[in-house]
Amino acid sequence: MLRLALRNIMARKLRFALTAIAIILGTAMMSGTYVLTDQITGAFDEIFAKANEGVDVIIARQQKFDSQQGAAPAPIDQSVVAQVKAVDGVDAAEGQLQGTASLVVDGKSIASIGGAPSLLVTTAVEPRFNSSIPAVAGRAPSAPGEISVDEAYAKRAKVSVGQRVEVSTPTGLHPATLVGIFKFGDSGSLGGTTLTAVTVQDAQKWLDLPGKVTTIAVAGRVGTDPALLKSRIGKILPQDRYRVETGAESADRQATTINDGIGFLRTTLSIFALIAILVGSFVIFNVFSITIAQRIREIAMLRTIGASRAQLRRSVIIEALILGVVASLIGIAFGVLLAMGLKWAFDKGGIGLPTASLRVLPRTVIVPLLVGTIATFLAAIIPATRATRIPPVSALREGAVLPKSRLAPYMPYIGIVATLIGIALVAVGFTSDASLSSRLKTIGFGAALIVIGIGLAMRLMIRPIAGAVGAPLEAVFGNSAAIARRNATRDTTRTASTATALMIGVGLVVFIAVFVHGIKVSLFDALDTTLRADEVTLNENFSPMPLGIVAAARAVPEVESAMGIGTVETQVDGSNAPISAIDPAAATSLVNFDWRDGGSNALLDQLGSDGAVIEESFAQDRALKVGSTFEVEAIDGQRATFTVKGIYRDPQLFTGYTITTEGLRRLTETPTVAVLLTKLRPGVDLTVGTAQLNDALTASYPTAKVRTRSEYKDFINTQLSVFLYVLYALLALSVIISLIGVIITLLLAIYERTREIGMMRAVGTTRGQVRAMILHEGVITCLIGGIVGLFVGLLLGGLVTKGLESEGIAFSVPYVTLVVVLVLTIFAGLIAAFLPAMRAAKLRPLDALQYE
Amino acid sequence: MSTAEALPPSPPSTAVVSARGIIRRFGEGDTAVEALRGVDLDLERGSFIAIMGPSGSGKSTLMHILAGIDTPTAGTVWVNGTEITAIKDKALTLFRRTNVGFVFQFFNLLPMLTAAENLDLPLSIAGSKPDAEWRRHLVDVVGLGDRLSHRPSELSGGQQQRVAIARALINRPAVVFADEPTGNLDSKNGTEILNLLRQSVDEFGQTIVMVTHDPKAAAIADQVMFLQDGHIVRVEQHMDGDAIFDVMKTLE
Repeated sequence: MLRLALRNIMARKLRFALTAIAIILGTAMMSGTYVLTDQITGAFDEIFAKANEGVDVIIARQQKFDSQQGAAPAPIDQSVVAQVKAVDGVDAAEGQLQGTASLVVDGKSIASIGGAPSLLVTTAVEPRFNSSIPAVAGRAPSAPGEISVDEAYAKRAKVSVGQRVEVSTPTGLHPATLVGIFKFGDSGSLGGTTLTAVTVQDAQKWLDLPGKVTTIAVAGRVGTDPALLKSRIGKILPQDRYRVETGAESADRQATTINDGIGFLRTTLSIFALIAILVGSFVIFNVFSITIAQRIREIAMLRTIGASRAQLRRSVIIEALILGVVASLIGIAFGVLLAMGLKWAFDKGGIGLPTASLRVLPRTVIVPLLVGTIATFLAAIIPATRATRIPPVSALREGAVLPKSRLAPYMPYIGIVATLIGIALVAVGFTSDASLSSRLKTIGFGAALIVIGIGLAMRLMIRPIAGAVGAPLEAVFGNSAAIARRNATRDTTRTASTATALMIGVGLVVFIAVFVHGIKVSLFDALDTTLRADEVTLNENFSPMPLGIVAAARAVPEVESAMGIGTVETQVDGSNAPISAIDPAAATSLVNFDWRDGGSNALLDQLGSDGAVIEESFAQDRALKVGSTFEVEAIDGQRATFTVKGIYRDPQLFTGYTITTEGLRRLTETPTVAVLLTKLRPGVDLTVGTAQLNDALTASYPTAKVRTRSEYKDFINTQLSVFLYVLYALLALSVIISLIGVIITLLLAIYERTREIGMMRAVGTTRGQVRAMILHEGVITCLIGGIVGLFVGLLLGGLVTKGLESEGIAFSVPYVTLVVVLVLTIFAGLIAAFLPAMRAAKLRPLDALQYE
Repeated sequence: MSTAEALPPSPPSTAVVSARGIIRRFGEGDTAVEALRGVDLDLERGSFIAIMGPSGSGKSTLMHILAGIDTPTAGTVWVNGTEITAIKDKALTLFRRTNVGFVFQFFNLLPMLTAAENLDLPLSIAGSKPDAEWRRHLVDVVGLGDRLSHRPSELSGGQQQRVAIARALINRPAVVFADEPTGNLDSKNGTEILNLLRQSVDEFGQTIVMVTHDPKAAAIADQVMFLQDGHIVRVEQHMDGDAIFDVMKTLE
């Protein structure tokens, strides 16, 4: 039976190759994901280990909870350095500072790539602490006004040693001389992150932190155990204020934090890979079903000469296993190549993520191999079972058909039930009180049930949809379209599984489109109704801006009012609470609050330093009413209690709670603003006023980006589109696999219909008409998948946006996208049918006269 | 080479199908096989011609070439006044549409179309409307009135072949080619099909060329042509089955 399986594969190489692609693509994505994320993880391990080289113990302020935004810990008073130096066994201790800074060359700010941070770091006097940034040109900065930058940044900014440049930090622009260029670690790879190194004294000045440091690096005397040193230092520094770690511990902790983020990336990519494999298994199921139907005579003949059912089943399953293993292995190899290509692209473009050298862990091979093989095996079980039910007498009969699967008649109804259960699960997921992760699992499982259920019920939809899309085609293209429609509907089970594969991809594309469109529409609506500002100013990389920018904006004559929205990371009752700190005097002219419970703008004036107005759902979640109080804990440990003065609704912009800038000072020593809102004086032309504001701000804050409200909307639109296109690109793989399914199905169908097509050619059908007929069939099949996918996407999008109503996300149909999806579906059908159509057109009338 | 030879000979005026010097070679070089080695023929309009011969005699190849679905290696074929060996595939296809009808051994109906739709197929391919009266008459003659809305899978072999014959006649082609039309039927249904073909010659003046190896089937023809090794070895008018059988025995 093994030989029979091998012979079957060899006899139909094209079919085998196309079917293999269905699995190759998914497994390639899976192994590529592993290799790539392993490379990134490796790079970060290396970066953090490198950064702490020569450092035995590292001291920083304790953060009360994990920062969501990677906020630096609060500064430490420099006097602590002397205290640490006095500890027994300490050889050297030095304060270091970290902040944000970017180069400004000829008035132009050189940003990092891909939203990566632009960091300001300090060089130490103690050479051991500088070992992670060895100079490749020049030397380390040692005097005021001297800086050095990392090699990649220097290359991009086109600066060389000795050049005069400016450095932009939260306090403004600072002239400096580039005295050195260094390389970080062995690979020098930091992704898009840029490093600018200065002396501690300059950093204190430029970050406006006089007498402060962010971390203290400690080196022990030769032979001193870092752990011992750590415990000695820990004794003199209060534990709730200071975090004392060995260099290795610190590297591990930071790497773990980053790796959690990469783990999320890995999970996301793996989900898309699994979707691709699911689509691939539909294709494989279909191909095996069709080829078994075509091999009825051969299989029946084997039965007549004594092959047992078990032997036949084994033969089909062996064929599937060979396919699964071979395709998965090829896919894994492709995945490794793909990851290598991406690494090359990252290195070339300096984009976003650092990568270490290639490593292929055992699970990178084992998991995709198992998933790919098992998926192929499962897809072949039903066809294999049906093969065993072919009676021996079929060998002798003309036109014998494959016995129907026993479950087949019930499948659509099982599908409908599954869909309904799926809808119920999604609803439960959104309304239950369970933990977020279990609710997400319920919703995800429900969504999967909906998609699979509709896939099973697809058979019922083939005829109506084929009729609906066939009618206009027939009206325009006549007979070839009419026959194409009949061909598409003659085996509804087959067309259904072909269309289902495409439906999954299209459904997810539409779902994502609806979801993101909902976010966009709601956000735009919120911007229009809540914001009265003319301009919205944010820092590049969304890093916080110094308070000084508000005064700078107010100094512009065209500006009537300006307000910074201050922020710091806080928690209430142990869960993250978004905070907005406003200036009550300016707020009413810049922001519209949608007051509840009879509140009004007058409340803002009563806030003082311990009052808060809170968002409706924040109030509901914590059972807060006007007059009640809540305690806030800031990331650096400050605690403050606020009294609720009023409640408003704004699920998009001012979520959580709103306090005054004075209130914010109770929560952080270094208040900064996340966003600057400005309004121009009446009569000032928007273009002119915005230009004036931009000139005034960028002179001292070159990284600040001034955008008018409509520019800000465009900006958000672009950001969301990038997100959308990345997801589309990930789903494109599934769509491509389903189109390969359409190609194979059509090729096999043409092979089956050789005699029919030959007859049609004999009685006067032109090659062009045959070609058109197959192209129409491709379009009809794809449109069935596309249209059902569209409705699945709308259903999922509707359910999810409905469930997120309290988050302010509205359901809104992205009509343009839907039309584009349908048009692309038609093109996809034409592309998929191209090769089969060419093949069919080559058939000769003579083929009609030849038996089989 | 003289100019006279370069010009194709003109077709005999009364023949609906004429062939001159047909050679059909399959393959190249040493392995080449000559299926037809120089066939000349003229078929009269309104006649029923049977082409007979043992396996490998070239009878099917000859029919394919006369019907314009295979191209001779050398030689000229005229059908209904058109030199089909001189026209390209597209023109030939359009020519077949209106001038040639086919009846196949395995019926070759489209399974997803009803009997009526199969019957109208040549017209709908051509984008033309059926002549309602002719169609009604045809349906009547082939006796399918109550079966028109059925799918081929719901029809017996004999009924399917009746649909196929009606399909071949629907656009009143100059000539109908039938390839072993009874080869896949039992003798009762086979006889009915032969009678139907005979009737279409007698009543409608249809020209029919039928390839068969069944002497009884050939006996219904006006003229029987015997092929052997790629040559027409004998042409007889109105032979009975036994006589044909005797000739066939000498050929094998």
